[in-house]
Amino acid sequence: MSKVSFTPIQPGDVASITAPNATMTATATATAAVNAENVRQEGLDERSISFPLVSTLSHNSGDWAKNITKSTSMWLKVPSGGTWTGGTGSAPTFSSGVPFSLTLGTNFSYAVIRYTFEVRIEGRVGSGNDVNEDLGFALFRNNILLPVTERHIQNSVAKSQAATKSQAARSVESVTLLFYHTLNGSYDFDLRYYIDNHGLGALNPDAANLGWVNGPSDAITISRLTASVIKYK
Amino acid sequence: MAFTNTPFVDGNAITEADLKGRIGNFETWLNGGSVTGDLSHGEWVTKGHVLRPEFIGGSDDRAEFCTGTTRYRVHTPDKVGAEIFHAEARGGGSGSGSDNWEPVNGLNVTIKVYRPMTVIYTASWLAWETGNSALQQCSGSNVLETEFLNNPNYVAADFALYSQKMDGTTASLTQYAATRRRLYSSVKLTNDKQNTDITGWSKSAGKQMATHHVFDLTAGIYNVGIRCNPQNGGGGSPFVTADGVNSQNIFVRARSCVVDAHFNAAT
Repeated sequence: MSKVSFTPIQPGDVASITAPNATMTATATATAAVNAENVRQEGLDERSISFPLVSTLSHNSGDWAKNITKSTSMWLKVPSGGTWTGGTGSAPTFSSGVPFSLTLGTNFSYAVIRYTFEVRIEGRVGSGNDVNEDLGFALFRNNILLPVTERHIQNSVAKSQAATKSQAARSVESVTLLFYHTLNGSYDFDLRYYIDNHGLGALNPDAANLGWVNGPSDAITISRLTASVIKYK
Repeated sequence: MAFTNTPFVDGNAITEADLKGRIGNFETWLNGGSVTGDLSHGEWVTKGHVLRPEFIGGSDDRAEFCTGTTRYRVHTPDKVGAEIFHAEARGGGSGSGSDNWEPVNGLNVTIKVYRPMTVIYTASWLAWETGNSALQQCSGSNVLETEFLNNPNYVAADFALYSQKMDGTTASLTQYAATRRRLYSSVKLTNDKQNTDITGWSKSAGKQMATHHVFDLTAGIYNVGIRCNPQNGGGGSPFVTADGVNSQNIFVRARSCVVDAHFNAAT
């Protein structure tokens, strides 16, 4: 039963403003009582009650790219957007680690964090040693590694040497890091990488033999990155 | 929020506009004038009143929801569902600019954006090129020419996320450069003098690709999805420039995408 009902003005009523006003006032008063009993749920979306259930934050690098430092055997933040090169338009603006500060608070129940990018890796470590570097990526939460997000890639051709063109090789891989976060409180997330040289010296890019026609050349390059945090109510 | 009445003033003339205006105000309130404050008004709005976002496969568009929509498309790796860009059918070579980018069936959906919305696009797909008759993996000196692997001089195809309003023009066509992924040509092993037990074409150019992106759209109907720019494998030696001679067929097999369209603060 509707709680909003009209008091119709009858033919023959005294011609004054009193009756129309009374009708409108009564209607306005009645609407204050609208509740779950008299609103059909299938009609709610037609009433323009459209509100966001999510809150999004995102960064992206466009087609810019960044050589990753040759420092090895430690987790380092991915360099800030201002240091990326080779792209079109404005350089990306994210800070090192492509970080997010995340607080679920009372409005949000969980968050999904995504990092997707492309990595190319070429060359080998040392001088003539038959081993390729191992490159790992992972998310850190409040400076603590989240092991479930670790992803690793290697140059796919063993004994890839920089000395000759014929023995140089590179790999190009899509990398996706995905994390489901439910902890309440304030947390800082960032993307880090780790280069394992197996104790066999510095990385040797094959840039001399495998020059890129676009973007920078180095042993390891990260590019085309999108990072996002989607908070859900 | 209760309807707010504007009383007539006794003694003032009542015009048709006065009546229509007041009736119109009430109609607006009844049919769609609720505001965000209603959600806390007496706390009568519960989960039962808010429609959950529907999960709809394909591009069928049949309903409006309070908070957004989610759509997905999937294709198994079977041959029937494969998307193949044959050399003679693709835009590369004769096409130019955006005409070279062709939607990948199975990675595109059509969405209706009722009001300003935030779109979250996620996709992964397996692609490879085969049939290259020019790129050999071995030189005459019996040395493995690994330099040809993933070499940007020999690009078989680029993939990227696009959005385009379905209004008959390309004015809104947008490429999200951060989503670009690259496929390189396969190599021909027939003349490999080092790996003599291998014949035919390698599928080593195959790649598992994945990307996601978050972007805002204004109201309208959009195509959103991954497009492919098949290429001739590059113009560098030993390739020839005629399309279809080098990079032959681009395959996209197992693939899936999920598109979330959510109302946002600008809604």
